[in-house]
Amino acid sequence: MTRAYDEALFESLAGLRFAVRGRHRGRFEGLHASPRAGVSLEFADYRDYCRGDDIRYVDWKVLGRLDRAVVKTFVREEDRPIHVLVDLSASMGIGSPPKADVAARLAVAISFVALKEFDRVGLCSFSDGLHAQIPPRHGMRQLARILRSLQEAEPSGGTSIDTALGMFAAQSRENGLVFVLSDFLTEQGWQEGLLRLLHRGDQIIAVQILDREDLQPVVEGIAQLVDVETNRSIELTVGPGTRAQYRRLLEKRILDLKRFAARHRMTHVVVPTDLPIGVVFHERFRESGVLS
Amino acid sequence: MIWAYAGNLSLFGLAAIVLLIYFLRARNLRHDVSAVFLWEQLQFGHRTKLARFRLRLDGILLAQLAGLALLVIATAGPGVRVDQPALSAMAIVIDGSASMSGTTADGRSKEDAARAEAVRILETYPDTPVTVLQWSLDPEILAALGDDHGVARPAIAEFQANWTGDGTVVSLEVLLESQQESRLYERVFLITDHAVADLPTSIPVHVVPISSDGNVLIDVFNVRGQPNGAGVVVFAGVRNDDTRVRETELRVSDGSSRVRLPLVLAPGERQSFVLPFPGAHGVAYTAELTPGDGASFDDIRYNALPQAMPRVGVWFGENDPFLRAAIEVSGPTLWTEEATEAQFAVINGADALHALGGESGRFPSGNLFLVSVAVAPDERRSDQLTADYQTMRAVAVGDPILKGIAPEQLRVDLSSLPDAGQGEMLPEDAVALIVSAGRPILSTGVSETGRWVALVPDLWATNLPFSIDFPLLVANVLAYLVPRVEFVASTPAEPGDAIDLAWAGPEARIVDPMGNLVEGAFGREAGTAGNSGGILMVDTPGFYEVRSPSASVLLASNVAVSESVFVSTLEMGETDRPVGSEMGVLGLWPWFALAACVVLLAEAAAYHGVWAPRRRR
Repeated sequence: MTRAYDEALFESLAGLRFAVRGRHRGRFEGLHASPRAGVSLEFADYRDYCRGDDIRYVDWKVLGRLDRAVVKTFVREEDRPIHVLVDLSASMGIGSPPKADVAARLAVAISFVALKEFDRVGLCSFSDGLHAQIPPRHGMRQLARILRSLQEAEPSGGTSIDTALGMFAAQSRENGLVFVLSDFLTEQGWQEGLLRLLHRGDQIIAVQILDREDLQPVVEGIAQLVDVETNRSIELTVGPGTRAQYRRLLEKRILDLKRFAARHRMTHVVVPTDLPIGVVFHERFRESGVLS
Repeated sequence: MIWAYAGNLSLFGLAAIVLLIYFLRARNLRHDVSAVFLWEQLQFGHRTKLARFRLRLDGILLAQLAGLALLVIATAGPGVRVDQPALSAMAIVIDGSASMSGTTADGRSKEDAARAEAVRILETYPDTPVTVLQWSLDPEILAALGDDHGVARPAIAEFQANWTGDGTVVSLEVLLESQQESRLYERVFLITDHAVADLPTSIPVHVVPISSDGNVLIDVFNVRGQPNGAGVVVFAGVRNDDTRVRETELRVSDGSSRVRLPLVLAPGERQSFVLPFPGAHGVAYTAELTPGDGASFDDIRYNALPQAMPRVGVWFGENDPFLRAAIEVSGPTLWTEEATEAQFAVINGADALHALGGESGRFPSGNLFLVSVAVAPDERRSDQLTADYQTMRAVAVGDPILKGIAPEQLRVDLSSLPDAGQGEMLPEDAVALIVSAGRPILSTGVSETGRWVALVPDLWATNLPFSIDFPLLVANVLAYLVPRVEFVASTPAEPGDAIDLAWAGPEARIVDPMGNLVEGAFGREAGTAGNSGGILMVDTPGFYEVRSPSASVLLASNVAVSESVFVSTLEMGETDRPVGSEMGVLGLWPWFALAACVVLLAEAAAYHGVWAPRRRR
């Protein structure tokens, strides 16, 4: 799968930053507040002076007024690992452009934004199980690895979000910001997988990528509808009434995911395939609080 | 709306192919979806189940069908009547010949079709002065030239074809000229079922063709008596001018008995027969095809055997039974006392000069058979004959009177002849046919009032009464004296023919085939052109009966065989187009073709999604 990435998109994304809720311990220094004290510009607290403390952090004004030696402590800023989970099941190959293309572009853009903020980014593709996994790392070389991995991937197989996310939760050793890029159109459900990530302490952003054909199908007349994942087919006559009934079912499914996300403090973003990536970041991500 | 090519409307059947393609294409329409389980959760109703067997309202399909319908209508040449400017004058000439009594290809009466066409022309030119003419061998002016179509319409409604043959171009010109000069007609509409050749270019004739149905006809029917008197032999010909195989039966009847002949005729086939009719008697015979067809006039033919009419004669002088018997053997003879009604007179024992000169006024003018010329009655007795017989000799060999006669076998007693010379007995211009010893025995001549034949010697002074040549000689003499129609012709007449019935005598009465007395066949005023007394104008097929005091004779009449030769409208020439295709009709096919193109272009655009709603971001 060959996809094009333009420089203008990266330039427009350069100043963006993902919002991280709470303080989490990181492995390396970064730009996100950590529960641990450390060296930064953000004041955290006072504590009594102990022998051996650096006298440069003694608050002399408190010592003069209260005759008590205290030292100032500062918030430690650490990195936050960002996991991008990309659904590459066969249903993601549908659309114009294909949903998998949009997911790949979005994954690359998310990685770019994260790497620019000195976060570690990892990639994991899945369908009915986990496929390629790139552990979170720093540096723009990681972007190249992610890009190459996505270019080599082809959508295939069925979708089992619960299974895939469960396997991911078991294998990944640190929590972080998890982007799940999928159409969430699966019969087997996604609640369990998301909850497992949530219980692990991940901040979950469910990006639901849908094609215009999914949202407003144009199929008309007598048609044989074939599921690209299961090859199951149904033959029926599609008219305006049938399409309206289908849209109601899909909207209900989207609403279910949105309510589930709200209930569990997850973020849910619907991304149509014909929406430019820049608009996704500057409008959808910003409106939903994904960006700070 | 009228159609120039109504047959093209059958192309509507192509819609079935469009529908077939539609259903075949729809059956193979595969559509990949991300989640078929969503579609499976739809509540299926009658609108989605079994949809393949239900024609749904599909816009593109409807557009295709509409485009096809418009194209088909365009090819059928639709048109509507439009008002035309009034012409200066027009003539509607309706073919009134016998063939117009048949039926058209669609089973309508040709007369009705002709009336409808004529009314259509009147409606097309409502303000044009018009004359309505019936054109045949017996033409007629149905409505004189005038502005009032209220006169022309009843005349058209009353139009009926007669039984005569087709009219001639000359008669057409005469008909038109009878109303006004031909060149002043702006249009002449000729409504006919046959192609007319040599139409005058000076007259703007537009032929309005009337189609003809398939026809089986009797084209030959003749009857001859058997030499042995045992019935007759029928000669008949039957032709199938239809495009189908026709099964029919030929029935020949003499009025009381008949013979039948089943026939199966291939298209265009003609069969002729020599059919013995052993038990037939009588003179009137009818041949008929059963079942008949639309053109009934040629399904039945009439014929009559030759019949002799009695000659009318008057006898002057002493009766001679031998001579009288010889005359009657030569043909039926009606003897009368009225010399003025006689066709010939027998004068036995008279002076030829005296008889021919008519000085006494006693003898009739006309054709005379003179016997025993200038021989006194007391000298004309066989017991007074001597034995001085001399052989006769023909001097005018080849004369019709001597046909079959051998004069050298005849003898005459010269002593019975008067001593006077020929110049004293006979006129100077007399022509001797038979002489004996240089003296005329049989002479002929022409007087101011008719022909005469003179047998100079007394009959009993010759061996003529005992000779077999005697009745032949008498028959030849009568044939010379009365050379006009003596026997009814065996060839049937045709409606429109004029038959001279002078031979029937003034007292004859004529009954037509319908049983009605023909008025005016005799006794018309002298001087009426072609209809002086004794002329019968035949106007109906069938048997005419001529009833005279002496006998009754049947005359057969048949519609001309040429009336059965139809020419289809397709074979007609360039000027034979229907009137509707040329004038009074506005062709609409360009509009329908344009509409079809627009609809098909719209269908193509719709198929490629030109008008599909744009997707919102």
